[in-house]
Amino acid sequence: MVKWRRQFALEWNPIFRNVWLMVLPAFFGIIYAWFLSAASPFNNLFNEAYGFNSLVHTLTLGIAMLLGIIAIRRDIRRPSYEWSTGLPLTYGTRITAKYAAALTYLTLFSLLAGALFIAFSYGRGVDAAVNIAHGVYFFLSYEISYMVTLALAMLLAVCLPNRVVYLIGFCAWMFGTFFMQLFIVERYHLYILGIFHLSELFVQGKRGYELWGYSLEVDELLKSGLFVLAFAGLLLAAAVTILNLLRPTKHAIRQWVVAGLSLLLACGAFAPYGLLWQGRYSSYFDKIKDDTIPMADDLGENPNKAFEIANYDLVLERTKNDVLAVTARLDIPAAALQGEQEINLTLNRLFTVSEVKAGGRPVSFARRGDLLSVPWSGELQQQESVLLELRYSGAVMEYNGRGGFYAFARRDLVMLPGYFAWYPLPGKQHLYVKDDWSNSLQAGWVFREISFPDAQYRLTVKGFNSKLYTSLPETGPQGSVERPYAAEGKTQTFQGPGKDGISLFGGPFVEVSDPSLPSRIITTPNSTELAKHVLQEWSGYYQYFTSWVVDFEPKIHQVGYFETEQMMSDTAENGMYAIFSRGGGDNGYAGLLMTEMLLGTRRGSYQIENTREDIRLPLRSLMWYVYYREAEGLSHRDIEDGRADFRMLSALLHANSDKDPDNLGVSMGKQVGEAIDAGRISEVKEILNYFYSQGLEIPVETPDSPVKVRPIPYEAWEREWKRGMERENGA
Amino acid sequence: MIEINHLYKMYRKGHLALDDVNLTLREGMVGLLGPNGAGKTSLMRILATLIRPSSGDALIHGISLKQAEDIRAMIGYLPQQFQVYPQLTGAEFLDYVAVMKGMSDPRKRRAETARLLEEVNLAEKAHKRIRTYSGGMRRRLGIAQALLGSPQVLIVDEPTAGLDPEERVRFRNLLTRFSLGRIVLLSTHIVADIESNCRQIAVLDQGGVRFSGDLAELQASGQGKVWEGIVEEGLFSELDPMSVVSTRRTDEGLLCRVIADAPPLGMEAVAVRPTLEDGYLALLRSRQEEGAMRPW
Repeated sequence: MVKWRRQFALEWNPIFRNVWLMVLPAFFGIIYAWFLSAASPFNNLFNEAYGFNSLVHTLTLGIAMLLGIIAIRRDIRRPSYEWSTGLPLTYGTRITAKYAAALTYLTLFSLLAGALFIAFSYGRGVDAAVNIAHGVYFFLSYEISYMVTLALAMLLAVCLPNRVVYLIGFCAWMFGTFFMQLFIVERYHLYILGIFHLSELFVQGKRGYELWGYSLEVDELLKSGLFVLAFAGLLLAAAVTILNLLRPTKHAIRQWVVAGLSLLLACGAFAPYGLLWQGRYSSYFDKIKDDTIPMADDLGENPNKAFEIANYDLVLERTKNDVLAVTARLDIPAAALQGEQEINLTLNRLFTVSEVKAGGRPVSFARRGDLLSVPWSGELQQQESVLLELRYSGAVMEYNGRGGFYAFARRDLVMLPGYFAWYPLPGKQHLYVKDDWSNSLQAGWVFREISFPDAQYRLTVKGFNSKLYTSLPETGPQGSVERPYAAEGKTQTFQGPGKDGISLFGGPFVEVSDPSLPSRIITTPNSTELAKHVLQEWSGYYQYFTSWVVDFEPKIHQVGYFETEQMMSDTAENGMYAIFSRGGGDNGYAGLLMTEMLLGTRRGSYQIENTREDIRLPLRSLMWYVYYREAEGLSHRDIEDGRADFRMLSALLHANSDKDPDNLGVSMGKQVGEAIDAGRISEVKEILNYFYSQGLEIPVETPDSPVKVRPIPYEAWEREWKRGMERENGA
Repeated sequence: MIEINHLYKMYRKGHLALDDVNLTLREGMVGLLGPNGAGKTSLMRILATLIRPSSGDALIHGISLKQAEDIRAMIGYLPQQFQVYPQLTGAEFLDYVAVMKGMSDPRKRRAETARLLEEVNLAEKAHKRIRTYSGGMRRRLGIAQALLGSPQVLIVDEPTAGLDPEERVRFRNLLTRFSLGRIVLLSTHIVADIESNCRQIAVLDQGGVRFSGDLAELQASGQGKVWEGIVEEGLFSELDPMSVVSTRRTDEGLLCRVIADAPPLGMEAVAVRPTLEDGYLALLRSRQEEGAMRPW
C-alpha cells in the first residue's frame, strides 16, 4: 500500500501541478454557473442543467480520453523510462494509481456538476432533498462516464505505443458518443446499446426531465452502472494483462485468473441489464407478432364501438414489487347490451385477470389480446343492469419501442393514461396498432379515438407513498370534499362524473395555486416559478372574463404542467388540462388555459366542414378579440398586425381557408371591430354572451358520443347581431 | 554469480538478437563489449527482467529469470536511454525510487538519497527540478537510482554515453567502488570504460559470445596481429579502412597502426604489442573474416 500511495502521489503531481489542467475545471465551473444563472426562471432548472451537461460533459470526455492516453504514454512502453519497468513494482499498482489520480482530477468536474446545480436550484427555493437527489445523479453520471472513458483510453495507449493512439482515442471518443447516439442508438432505436455509450447523460434524452426522467429508470441506471463499472474494471485488467505479457512475471497464472474473473464479472454484470431489456423487447415484439392487433391500414373508418357503463368503482392497490392489484366494479345497464351474447371489455393485456363475477357470482371469461369477453345470457339478461366485478393485477412498465413507455407504475412514479385501458373499457377497442410503414407498434389512440363512457366514477388508490392525481375530484373516504390524503393512511379516493376516461399520474409533484383562481397547477419543483407566473397571468384573464361573461362556467379545475418526453400531446380530461412540454419555458400557457377554462375543448373542430354552417370557431376567437380590444387596448389594425396571440384569433385572421371560402371569420371580426370603434362594446358583449350560453365547446362527435354537437350557423349570428344592435339603437 | 545458459532471443520479425549465449559472470565489474547491434542491450534487458528470452535461462544468485519479481528486488538497472519525470526534483525522484525498492522508513530513505546524491555530485542540485538538469546530471541521477537500495546486481547499459571525460572518470570510480562484493554488469562499446577496472570481460557479436575472460586474455587476442609502419599517402588509400586502427602524420609520411594477420603489402610494418582495444578489434575482425569465409 505504501508503494501504491507513493505511485499515486507521483501520478497526481503532473496533473495537479499543471496549470492548464487546473484551469479546465475552473473554466467549466464558470461556464456552468453562468449558464445556470442565465437560465430563465420559467424554465425547469433540472431540465436546463441536463441539456447543458449532456453536451458539455460529453465534451469533457475528450479530456478524460487525452488524460488516460497521456498517463500511460508518460512512462509505460517508453524506452527512456525503461528503468521504471525494472523496479520491483507491479503493473497493477502502476495502472491503478494512474487511473485513480486521473479519476480524482476528473472528479472535480463531477463535483462541480453536482454542487453547482444544488446551489442554484436551492437558490430558487426548491426543496433541498430534491436538489441533492438531482445533484447526486449528475455527479454519479459524470463519474461513471469518466471511469469507463479513462479505462478505455488507458487500454488503447497500452495497446498502441505509437502516437497514432491519439487519433484512435479521438475516434473512440467521437464514436462512443455523438456517432453512436445519432447513427446507431436513435436511428435504429437500439436503446439497449446505450450501455456502451461513453456519456451517461447523452444517451437518453428522455432521462433529461425532472418528471419521469432518470428517476423512472433508476433500476436500469443501477444495472447499467454496475455493468459499466465491471466493464471499466475489465478494461484495466486487460491493460495490466497485456503489459504483463510484455514483461516476465512469476504470477502469470494469477494474472490470467484475474483477467478471466474480470471478464466473467463483466459478463455477469451485463446479465441483469440484458434481462431487463429482454423483457421489454419480448413484450414489444409479442405485440408486433400478435394477430389481434390490427395494421394501421386495416383499421378502416369505423370508430371503436363502445356501450354505456353507468358506474365504475375502482380500487387500485400498489403491492409488492410494484404490482398493481385492481378490483373493478362496473354497473352496466342491460339496455346498453341489447342484442349481445357476451360483454366485451377492453383491458390491457399486461394485466392478468384472476376472477370475474357477474351479479355476485363467478363467471367464466375469455381473453384474447386486450379483449376480455364475459358471457351474457340467461338469468343475467333478465336484470335491469349487470354488476360486473373483475380482479386483475400486473406490473406496469410498458416499453414503447422508442426509448420511452406507454405507461408505468414504478414506486411513486405513475403514468396510467385512460387510453392504456388500465381499467376495463367498454367494447372492443384497439389499444395498439401496427404501423406497416415503419414496422413498429403505435398506441391505438393515435389512429383512432378511444371511446370512454360517460360514467360516474369512484376510484380508490392505496399503497403509494406520495399523492396521485387524476381528473376526478378527490374526496375523503366517506365522501368529504376535504382532501384527506395523508402519508399515514396512504389511501386516496376520487369521485365524480367522467366522460374522457380516467388517467392517473404520480410523481414528484408540487401544487401551485392562486387564491383568485378556482384552479391549481400540478407540476414538478423546478417548474414552480413558471407555474406561479402562469397562474398570475391566467388570473388577470380570469378577472376580465368573469367581469362580463354572464354564464361563465369554468371548464377546467386543475392543470398538470408536465415537462417530459413520455407523453407528447396535451390532453383535456374531465376538467383537468394536462400540458406536456418538452422544451420548457412559457409558451403562452395562461391564454391557452384561459381558453380551455372559458371555452372548453375544440378537439372536434376538424369535423366542421364549413364556417357558414358552424361559426363556433370565430365566436371563440371573438371572445378573445374583445379582450384584446378592451383590456389590452389594441386596435383592429394592431390585431391584424399580429400584436395579439394569433392562436386565439386565428378564425378571424385566417382569410381564404377551405373551410371559410366566404371569409366569414374575417368579416365577423371587422364587424365587431367597427362596433367597438363606435363605442358599442356592451352590445357586442351581450351578443357574445348570448352565443356563449349556447355553448362554444367543440368536442369530437362520434355516433356513440354522449353529448350531441349543436352547431351555430352563420345565419344565427346575423340574426342575433341585427337584433342586438337594433335593440340598443331603439333603446 | 550470474549463470547464463543457452539464452536465445528472437524478435518478431525474425531477427535473432541472442544466439545461444552461455556465460558465467562473477563478483566485481563485468564489462560487456560489442559493436552496435551485437545483442548487449537485449542481454541486459533480459537479465533486468524487462523482456523474456525466447529460450534458455539465467540464474542470478541462484534465482531463475522466471522468478522475475524476485530478481527485480535484487537488481539495479540503468538503461541506455534515461529520462525522468521533469516536474520532480532530484531528491523527490530518488525518494520515489527508494519507496519502490521497499525502503519504507522515511529517515533511512532520506539519508540514503542524500548519500547517493553526494556520491553522484548532485547534492547541490537535489532540490532543483529535473527539467533544469543537463544531460550528464540526468545520467548521474540515473546511476543514483540504480544504486539505491544497494542491489546485489547492477546492470548498466552504456552509462558513459554523453558524459564529459571528467564525469566519465568519476563514473567509473563510482562503479568500481560499488562493485566490491557485488556484480556490476557494464555494457559499452568504448573499451576505455572497462580497461581500468573490469575483472571480467565478455564480447558479444552478432548475438553470440565471442569472448569471455579477463583483460589480459582479450588483449592477447591481438598478439601478432597488430602492425605499425609508415605509409605513403598514395598507398594509404589502398589499405582496407576496416583494418586501420589509427593514423598519425609524421615527417616521413603517415604512421599507421593496422590489424591484420600479416603486414599489408607495400607497407614496412613491424609487429607491436597490442592494447586492449587492439585485442578487441582483432577479435571482432577475425570473427568477421570467419563469417565472410562461410559458404552460406
